[in-house]
Amino acid sequence: MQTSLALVFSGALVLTACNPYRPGTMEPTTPNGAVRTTGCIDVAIDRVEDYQAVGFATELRMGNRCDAPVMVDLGQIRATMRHGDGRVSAMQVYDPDLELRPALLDARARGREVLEYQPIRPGVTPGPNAELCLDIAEIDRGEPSSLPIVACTPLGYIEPVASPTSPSLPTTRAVENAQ
Amino acid sequence: MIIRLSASVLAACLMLWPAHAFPCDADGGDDSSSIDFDGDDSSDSGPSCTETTEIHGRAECRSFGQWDASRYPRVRVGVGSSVSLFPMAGLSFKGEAEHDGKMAYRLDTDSGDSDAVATALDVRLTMMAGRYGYIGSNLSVGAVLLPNLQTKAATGLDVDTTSGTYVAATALAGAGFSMGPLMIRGEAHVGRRFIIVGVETSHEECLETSSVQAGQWMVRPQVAMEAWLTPWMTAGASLSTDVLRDRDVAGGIFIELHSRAFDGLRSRR
Repeated sequence: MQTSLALVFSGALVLTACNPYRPGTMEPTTPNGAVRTTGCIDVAIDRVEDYQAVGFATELRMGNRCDAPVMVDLGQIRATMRHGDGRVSAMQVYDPDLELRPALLDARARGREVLEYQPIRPGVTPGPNAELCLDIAEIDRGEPSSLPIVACTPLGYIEPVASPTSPSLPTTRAVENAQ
Repeated sequence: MIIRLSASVLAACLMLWPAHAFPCDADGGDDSSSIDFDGDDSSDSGPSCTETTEIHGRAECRSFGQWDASRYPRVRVGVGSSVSLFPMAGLSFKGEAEHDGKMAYRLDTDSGDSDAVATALDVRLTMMAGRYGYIGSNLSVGAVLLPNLQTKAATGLDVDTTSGTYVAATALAGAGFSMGPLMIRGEAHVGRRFIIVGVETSHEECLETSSVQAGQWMVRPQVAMEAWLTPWMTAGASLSTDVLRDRDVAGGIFIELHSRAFDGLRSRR
């Protein structure tokens, strides 16, 4: 058992040592995803389908451009739903056990989380042309941006009769940075 | 063989480089199988836990921030190869052969020509202590080319040496300072090395093989220079001497893996 753990650790260390993150190489995994940079952090944002999501599951992949470790606080992401008629609804991350915390992304390392965003006000559903917008300006605690750094992805229109526990996530279209 | 082993580690890394270079960036695929501490490390999940979602707060087999580097201690694991030249003066190997009862013998080093040469595979583990300091241990195992040994044995007992094995274990403490892509280290080793001599004894028609060993204490200052090959890997060379004996020197080459990029010492831009 100890030998296996040592092998796994050593293997992971060797493979990690061979694979540092290179600045600017982050790419979205979906056609409608987006990549934004704040401070030392490149962030790829993609909506993902997940049948367990009540809200909107979003994959965040981060890469540290710098040779120094960076404290990343995903709790600082400001999420909003922008409706097609111009209204804006505040969203919150699903974090039932309050586990979201600042964490250290090592120099030239990668990180990944899948976060689910839900409307703060119950009953808010995305209308036609609604978008989920994430402002990542302040996730790099060492170098927060004073300007918003926003990526938006369309949410599509959910029919009122749809199950409230499993909203369908229609195919998204590309939306450019709203900054 | 030792050098070949060390080289194979580097070769494996170089071979993996193109295959693993930015898998999550190049193909847009899930990087959960990569090794970038991205939170999908299956080794963290017990065998009975089956994950059905990756969503934070809903996933059952993983917790938030598995990429958090502060979870990992700052350790270095190194492998290398070294050559040591050291005097064996004063070492005495005492043994007993079983031929019609116990027959004692002794191997003594020649005071005029007592230098031995050992080539060894070195494995070391160090942990950072403070910003620049570190402590750890080093283990060296290899073969030793023995000098002439004078044999003193019971009457009728012939003694031949067949092999020499070198084992050294030290505790170490030191400090390292980075200068751009290079790092200079100074450290002190305290420990003991053992010379194990394979012996073949014969008495009349009886032939027996056995081994005898002797040990020396070591107090060795060592300097090393290494270069960062990647944020988590360095390669370098070292030189050391022993303050307890004259003409006791060693040199080696090594590769080290670091659990934290640049040992976590570099600051932003």
